[in-house]
Amino acid sequence: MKSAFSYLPHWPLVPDSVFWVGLTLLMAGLCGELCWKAWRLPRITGYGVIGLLAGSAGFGVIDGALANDARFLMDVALGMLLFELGSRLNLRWIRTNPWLIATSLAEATLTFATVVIALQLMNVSLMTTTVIASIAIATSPTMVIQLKTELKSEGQVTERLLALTALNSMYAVILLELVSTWMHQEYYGNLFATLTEPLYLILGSLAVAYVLARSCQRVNLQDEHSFVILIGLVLLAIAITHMLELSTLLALLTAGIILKNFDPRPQLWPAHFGTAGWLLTVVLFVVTLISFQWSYIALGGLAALAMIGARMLAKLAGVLAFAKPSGISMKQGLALGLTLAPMSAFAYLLVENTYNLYPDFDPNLRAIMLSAILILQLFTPLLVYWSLSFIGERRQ
Amino acid sequence: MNLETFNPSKPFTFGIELEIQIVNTHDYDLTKAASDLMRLVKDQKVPGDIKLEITESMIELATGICTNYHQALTDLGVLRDVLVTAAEKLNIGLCGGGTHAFQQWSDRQISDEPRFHYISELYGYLAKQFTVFGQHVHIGCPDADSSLFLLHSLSRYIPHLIALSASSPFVQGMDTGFHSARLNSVFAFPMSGRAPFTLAWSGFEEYFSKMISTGVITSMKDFYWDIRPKPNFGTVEVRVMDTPLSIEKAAAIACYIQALARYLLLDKPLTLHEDDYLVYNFNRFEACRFGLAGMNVNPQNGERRTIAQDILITLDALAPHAQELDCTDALVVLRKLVQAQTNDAVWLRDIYRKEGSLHETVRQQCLLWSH
Repeated sequence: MKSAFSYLPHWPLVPDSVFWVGLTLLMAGLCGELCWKAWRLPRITGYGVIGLLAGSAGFGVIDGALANDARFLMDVALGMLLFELGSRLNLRWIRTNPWLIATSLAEATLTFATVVIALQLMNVSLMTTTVIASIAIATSPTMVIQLKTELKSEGQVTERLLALTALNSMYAVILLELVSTWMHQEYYGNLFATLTEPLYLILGSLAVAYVLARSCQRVNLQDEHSFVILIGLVLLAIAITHMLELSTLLALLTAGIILKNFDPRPQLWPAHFGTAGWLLTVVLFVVTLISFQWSYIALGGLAALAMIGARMLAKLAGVLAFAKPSGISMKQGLALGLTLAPMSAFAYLLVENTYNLYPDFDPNLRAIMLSAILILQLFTPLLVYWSLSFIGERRQ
Repeated sequence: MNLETFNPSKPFTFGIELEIQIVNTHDYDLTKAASDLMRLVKDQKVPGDIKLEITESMIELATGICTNYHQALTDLGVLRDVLVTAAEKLNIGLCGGGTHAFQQWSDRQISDEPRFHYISELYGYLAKQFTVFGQHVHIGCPDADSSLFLLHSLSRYIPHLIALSASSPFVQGMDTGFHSARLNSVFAFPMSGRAPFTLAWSGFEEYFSKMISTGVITSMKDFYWDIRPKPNFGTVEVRVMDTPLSIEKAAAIACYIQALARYLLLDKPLTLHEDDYLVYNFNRFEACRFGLAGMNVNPQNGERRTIAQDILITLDALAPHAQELDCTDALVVLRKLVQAQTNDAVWLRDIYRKEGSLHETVRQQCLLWSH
């Protein structure tokens, strides 16, 4: 009903989603600063807490619809971070120091095996166990890059952390793909589809990666203005993987690796994709915990704890076994093993992807994984801070 | 504290020390890995030794006592290969060059050694700005007095050595216009410059004890002179050179000093006066700023020649001595360099012009160093 006073807002006022997003970011920023300035806790711990409060486990101010829109942002943010991570993986290094690949394989295999054992002891179904064990291999690329940037850390542990994270993220995606063939067969029973699915996904993602990397090589990355072109290329690649139902995570990570290793000249862009990239990272930390619900703890909390314990021990053992021959001290090995613990948005997206393909999949998967992500996202940043201080690699 | 006694050494033997840069292989900025490198090389058998330097981005290698060019090349080759192999294991790059092209001095970390902490405490930010990389050459002297004679006569040739080794045109991402900008960092230290003019060891001892009694210095190590005596080695140490980009050039420059020493001590072509130093800073500046094209003023007759011309004349005078010392090949390398006027600073500017990236320039520096 129009009236002379329709220029006035309706009462009560209804804030739109921009309001809630703005408020959430404001609170996340404040909480992050409070953590850092008052308690010397990593800022990202603060972001996680706000995500938790904003989501269904807290005040629920961000609803399911908004969280769904946020999925796209997460894909972009994580895609860019994986691209950056991949572009730091020097394959020549692995060739000249094969103990690195031994370390990487050891920590990944041990993680898979011990998590399988731990979850079987907790009576989790075998299929859910293998999915979780595959995802558990990956260290959070987001947290690793965010913490490296925040601490300005450099040195052998930091370098190896980046390399091992790039590798174990890759293993996790591929292994999950292979595990899902089994699910595919169980769900759809079409052997041809089962066999071609991983082939399509892996080869298709690699093809997108190759095209993206070769296109980036034509851009002069030293030039600030070409940065727009670069971001454009990355977004297009993400969109194409979406359209073709390929793996964004695998495509962007591999694109980074190809970019770094096809041309020996340093390919650089503003670290962390500049301020815009950093904002996206904050969004990533907030959004990851938005869909957490307290009921998950009751359902999967104990199994999550068992998984976390097994995973941390496995990573530590895998790294320590080859620390000496790979050229670091046991002290550095200890720090490296512990810094591999973080788990966050990358794992969350792998879980969500599984439910996208198989909507009726065991709800235990989400319960266990989100409980684990909650704990690891809130506590491992501190562990990484301590470890990097312990071996003198942090400068901030 | 008294000055150590001078232990005579075999004349014209020499040792080379090179401070080299440790960079990452991502953006080729300086990185922190000296202690990691040390851990990997400490059990390897090498001629001479490898040690930590003031910041974690720097490592120093030193040959044993050498007598000729080929031995120096072999020693340096072994040291270089041991370090490069360890560096590959750690995914880091090593390179020569007097400065890092684009590092920010404030990012540097002081190595964890008492002496380095002391220097950092005393000199403040200068200590971190002192992340520069030099070549030092020790020349054996038969006795204390001849070490002082050699020190002051070599001073005349300081511009040659600066221009030949210059490899630091870039500082903190900028082209300084200098061939050797590194020496400007050294000049900031209060005890830098030239040694006092005295030709008798007793005179030098007197100077040293006076300085000790002022409390300004505590040992010979506190003098950052261009050339200084090293009594316990029985040498004079020439310290003005930038670290060249390759071991071949480093060895050739060391042999140039060796041949000069023989020429100066045996032929005694110079008579030395305090007044020779009137033009010292001017000549030194010309070499730093303009390299081989810089002007060199002869302190005794005021004659002006380019440094390149002066080196070519000197090379002729050194020929018989080089032959005696078995280092003729070294002088051939240098003659070519001077004729083409292409020292390492020129090479670095060329690469930068071609590639448009200092990151890529440092990467190519690493390639040059490891081959």
